[in-house]
Amino acid sequence: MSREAGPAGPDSTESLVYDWGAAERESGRRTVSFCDETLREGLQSPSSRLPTVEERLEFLHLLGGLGVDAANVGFPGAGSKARSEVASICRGIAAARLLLQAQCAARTRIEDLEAVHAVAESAGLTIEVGLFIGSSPLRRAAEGWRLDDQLRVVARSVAWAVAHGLRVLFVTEDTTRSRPDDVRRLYLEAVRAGATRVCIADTVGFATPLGAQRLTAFLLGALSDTGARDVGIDWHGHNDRGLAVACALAAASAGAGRLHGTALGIGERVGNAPMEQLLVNARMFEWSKANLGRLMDYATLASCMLGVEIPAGQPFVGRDAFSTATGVHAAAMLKALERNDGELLDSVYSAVPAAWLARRQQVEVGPLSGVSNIRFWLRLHGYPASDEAIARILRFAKGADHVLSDEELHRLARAPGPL
Amino acid sequence: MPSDLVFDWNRERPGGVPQRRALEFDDETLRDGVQSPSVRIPPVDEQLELVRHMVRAGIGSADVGMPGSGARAAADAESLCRAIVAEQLAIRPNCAARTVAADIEAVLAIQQRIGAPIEIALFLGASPIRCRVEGWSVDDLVRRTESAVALAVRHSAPVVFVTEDTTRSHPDTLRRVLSAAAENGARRLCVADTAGHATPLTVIRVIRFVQRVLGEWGRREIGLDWHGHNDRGLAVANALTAAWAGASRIHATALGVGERVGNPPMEQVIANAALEGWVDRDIRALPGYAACAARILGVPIPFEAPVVGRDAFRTTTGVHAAAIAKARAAEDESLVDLVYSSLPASWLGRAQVVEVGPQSGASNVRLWLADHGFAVGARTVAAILAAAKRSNRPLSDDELLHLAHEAERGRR
Repeated sequence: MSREAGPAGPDSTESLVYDWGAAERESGRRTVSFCDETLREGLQSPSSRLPTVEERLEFLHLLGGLGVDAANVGFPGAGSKARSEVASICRGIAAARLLLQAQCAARTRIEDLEAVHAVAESAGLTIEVGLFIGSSPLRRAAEGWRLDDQLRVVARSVAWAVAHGLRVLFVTEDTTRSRPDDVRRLYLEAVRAGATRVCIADTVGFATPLGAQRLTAFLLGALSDTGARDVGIDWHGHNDRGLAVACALAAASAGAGRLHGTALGIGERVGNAPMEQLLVNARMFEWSKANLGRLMDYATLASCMLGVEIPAGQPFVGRDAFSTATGVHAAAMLKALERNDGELLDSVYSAVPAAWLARRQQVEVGPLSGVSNIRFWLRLHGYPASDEAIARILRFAKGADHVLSDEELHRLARAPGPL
Repeated sequence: MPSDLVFDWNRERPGGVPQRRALEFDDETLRDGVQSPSVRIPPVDEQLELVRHMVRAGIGSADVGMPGSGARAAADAESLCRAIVAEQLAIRPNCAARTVAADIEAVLAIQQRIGAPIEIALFLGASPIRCRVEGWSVDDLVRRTESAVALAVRHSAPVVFVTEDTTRSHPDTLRRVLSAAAENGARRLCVADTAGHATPLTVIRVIRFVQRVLGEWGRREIGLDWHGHNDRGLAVANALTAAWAGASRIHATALGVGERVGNPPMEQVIANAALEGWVDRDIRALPGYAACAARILGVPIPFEAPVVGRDAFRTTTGVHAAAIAKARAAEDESLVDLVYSSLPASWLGRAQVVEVGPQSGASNVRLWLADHGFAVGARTVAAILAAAKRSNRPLSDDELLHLAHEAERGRR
């Protein structure tokens, strides 16, 4: 992709893309890291199955090779079963020396922290604890909490965690509906007590990109005002308004250094920012050097592990992400194919090169197709593009109500002469 | 939204982002939507059913197809336009056409036969990458634009001129092509993110650019459309940003079906517009609209689809159920609907649903028992919770009923 606005060189594909978003990258050079929430938040989806410990470890092995930095592996305070599972997973991480920061969720209760501490001890692993507390007036009204009590609880629980060798990521739940002064006081209390990172949580998927940006900038300002510039900011978002990816990117552009996501976006209610979309978008912004060649494996493994399908229309990893059956599109792509210009073919109707994901542009044949679709398909499958075959396939396609399968196309391509 | 309980970080805008006044929607399901390789093309009576749902959902215009692409497409588009006129449906039809005379004439023929105006969405690839592939020069683009727009306008068809791949096109090219469209009588211009390349910042830049050139030409009365795609997962954010920046009509499709991974989902665009206060909060027509689209196009509604998916207002998580239970106990319905939800389920005629699974706590079980008319005894709660923790997925209502009855029998 082009890095400057306007043409770069005479012959490269880059010179053929005028990039209206280029200044975004220029002004926003940064490195973003990622925390995978699939094994905690992802399992909260009412539609996912609870995978076995072995399946979860296989998933973590794959994550380590993707360029994801941290993984939440569960909430040991939820009960004895959760605690023993999380302990097994952490022992597995330690044994395989995975390059992943293991993370556990905990409420601001000492018993939750004791559970995390026990896991850390049994695995011999430094664990980051995602210590969360509801910060919105709504949650406070529902729970009957007072801010002063919360501040005391935060100071005590963070201090306990730090004293017991845990790294603390302090999370204010529902931050995007919380008052600025409340969240500032909660965050600064946690930082004073030793938290090394703080997390903005858009727990109910309420934020717009503008809201995400403003809140992140506010927090960055509050931290630097108190001299806590080395405290990193995380963004944890949900997709209730369909804005999860855009909000995560907006938070990163405003200074959030680590983004949370889940495989396929699976999580509470309609879920979170899909990790695969965060990784590809970050690569487009040149914020990350994640290894996208294994992203399809990541999506497929998550799909099997959680027992959920990958929707055909899922960006980047869905079946249809690089597929067209439309005549106008196929006509342009055929011209690129006939010139043997693979780079042009991969970008004429695509924002992201399919090659990044080790995938290919696919042209299919259906009722909205033209002759170009058929020529493209025949050429790619090694058939001569005879007028008879093209006419036969086009007639069949125009009468169908669906895109033809490869099986149907092979049959039609082979049928001898006009029938 | 109760302002004392929700601090809205989205709304307070020190930068002075303009608030939209009127926003319209153009439904592209029956044109871009059916270009999805995964949908079936529904028969025309089913397409008409969806059009009736669009009207209920407050959608002002609908693309009914590209008559120039073949006899069947032309016949379907004509039937739909006829039915819209005959049933006096409150929706304006439009048809897609390339900048070639045959495509435009195919729409004009329908317009003449039904005796009502049909807006023509005239589209032309404007990016350097398309020009390279097609062997077009900028002069070619301008000539095609002039003759195509003039032909449609001569026959009194309202024209929305669409520059395909606008978000990867050079501003100098756009300036010349858009000027040709405006001078020849296009009523609207459509900025198209054909490949789903744009980010929200890109959207602001492109929309502001088009507004600026329209201002220079003294043609601010020309309306702006935004047509986006979801390749980067940013379609909804881009559509909202376009509306903020000044586009007055947003294109979208039911469930987001469309070319490749599709377009912004109409139901999400409208729900967001309701949250922003741009359209009415009564969006109860959206679930029926989405269900109709799923049925006639033969695509499932993904369980995790925002707004209309099965899980949109569903939780099995203990921490969430506990908060909802406390809100219920306070007998505050708006608190129940908001404590773990950004979009009130009640706006859609839906409700928050608490279920019981391996991630649940006692609150989930208590809520379920109370909702199903059982006594909430400590032993019953413990028995059900133990079964849920052993399971690897949420328990079905059947399983829960069975467990609850068993626990009650044991007590007796």
